[in-house]
Amino acid sequence: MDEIFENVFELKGDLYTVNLDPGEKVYGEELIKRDGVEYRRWDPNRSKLSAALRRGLDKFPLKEGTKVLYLGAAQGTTPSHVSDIIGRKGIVYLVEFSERAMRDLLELCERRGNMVPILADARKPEEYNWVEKVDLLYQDVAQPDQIKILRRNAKKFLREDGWIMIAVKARAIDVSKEPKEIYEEIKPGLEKDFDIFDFLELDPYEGDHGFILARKR
Amino acid sequence: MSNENFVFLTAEVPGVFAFDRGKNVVKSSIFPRDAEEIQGKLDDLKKGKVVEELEAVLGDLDAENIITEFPLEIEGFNVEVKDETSARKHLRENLRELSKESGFVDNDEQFNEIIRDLQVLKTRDGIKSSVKKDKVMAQAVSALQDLRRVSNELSERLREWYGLYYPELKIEENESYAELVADLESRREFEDFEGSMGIDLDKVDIEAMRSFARQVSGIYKQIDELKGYLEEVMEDVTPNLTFLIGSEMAAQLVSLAGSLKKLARMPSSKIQLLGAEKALFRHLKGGGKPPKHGVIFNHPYIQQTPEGKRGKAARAIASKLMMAARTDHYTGKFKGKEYKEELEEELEEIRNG
Repeated sequence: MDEIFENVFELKGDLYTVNLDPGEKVYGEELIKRDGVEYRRWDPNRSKLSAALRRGLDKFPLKEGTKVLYLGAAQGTTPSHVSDIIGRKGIVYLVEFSERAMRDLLELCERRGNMVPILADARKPEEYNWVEKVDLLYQDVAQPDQIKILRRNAKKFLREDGWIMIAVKARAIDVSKEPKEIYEEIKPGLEKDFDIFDFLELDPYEGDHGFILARKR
Repeated sequence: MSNENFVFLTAEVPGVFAFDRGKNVVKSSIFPRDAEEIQGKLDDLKKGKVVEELEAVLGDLDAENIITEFPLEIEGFNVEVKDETSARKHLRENLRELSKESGFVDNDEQFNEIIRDLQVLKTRDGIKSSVKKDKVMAQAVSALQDLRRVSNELSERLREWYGLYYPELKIEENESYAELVADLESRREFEDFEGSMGIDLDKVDIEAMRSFARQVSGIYKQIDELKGYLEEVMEDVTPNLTFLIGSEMAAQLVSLAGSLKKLARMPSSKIQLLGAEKALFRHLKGGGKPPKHGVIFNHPYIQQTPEGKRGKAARAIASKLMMAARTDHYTGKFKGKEYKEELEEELEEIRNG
């Protein structure tokens, strides 16, 4: 096991995180044990953050104790690995609007003390204005107005120098454009408030998706 | 009002706090670290009830005037109630620090866990209350059917009316027909209007038709909107049922049964015939063949099955719908995928058998 970033491991070309909830799988991923520690395989075909790491994300701001606001948590595949990485001292606030997805997410939150469910629309951050300032804002919402949603949440909840990670689904913004073109379009708007560190395309793991890492000024 | 006898009183997850104007904690009393108790106490405070932690803070409070967001009436104090106070904002913004300082939690892990517990509780309640939406959905699907009926009637009227003026206009779809009429200033905008057999009309006659067409076209837009809404909400109210037969049919079944609860208690033989009551009573009175299917008749599953085997198919579908309705009502878990696969296998067998 090589630790490629804090709490992110690599073995024979696969990524792993240390299972915070030993013995339990979240989405059918493989569990392996090394030196008495249980690891969960982090599938790049299921998690865009894993795909971004495989595609060579060169900076990774998540670590032990990081506070995260996660918009678009869905069933919790990626959030479960975030939960592994930040550990019990960290916290991840999970905003999800679909009650269907929230049902699965709730079961996960009950097993993991650092995952906090929030049933709300990320367009209306005032509905969860009690959330504290966070170190990182993660967004995976596939909405045409996702950048607007991101800025609003960043303004309210992201601390100075805080990080953002965004998965951008090109077709959700404009069906006729490629991720790279969409990126060029949203870049100027983002650069008003953020320094962009990295942009990656996620294929072959996730077609039609781009991934942006940036930092609040 | 002097500084000394004036406090802000507020409460949040960790307990009840009194702040002075400089946002220093004058006094505090922490809640037990249990999500349900905290939730209960905060709800009580919002209703203006005095909880024991509040009493503890008031006990030897060196102040006469209190500013608070809770509708409290407390003997011996002047209480001013405000929607949002700076103290409340301060407490919310420093929740983690004040939770630790006040001894409500010993460390970050404990704080994370109690926030998690509270949110799990709140989210569960939120999801539960949405289940009652089944009655709202029943109305929405009825409205959708009303709109369809009305749109057909009005479209027929529009065709007859506009047909006097331009009978050569042949557009199959009612929605496109209405849109086109609404958009066109006169039939002259068509290339082949020259030989039209329609009568010549004045502008005011045409305007009247166009205005009517706009309304008709609006109804079609409303139908689309309502369909989208129904889909979105039904996926949450009855995820399994919706996955199996689509949002509209799922809502129709709930509507005919009266509620999701009633649907969940029905035997599959009854679900099979929901919507076929007329035929069923005709049969019972001795006037016809027994019906094989009600609402579900319109589903592609039945439509794709040859006539002679539809009764069997309807039974298989109804029995899966029964399971889906029960899962939706009693557990809320998603098993739609399994059900659908099993059902499709069964139907395959019926069709080939």
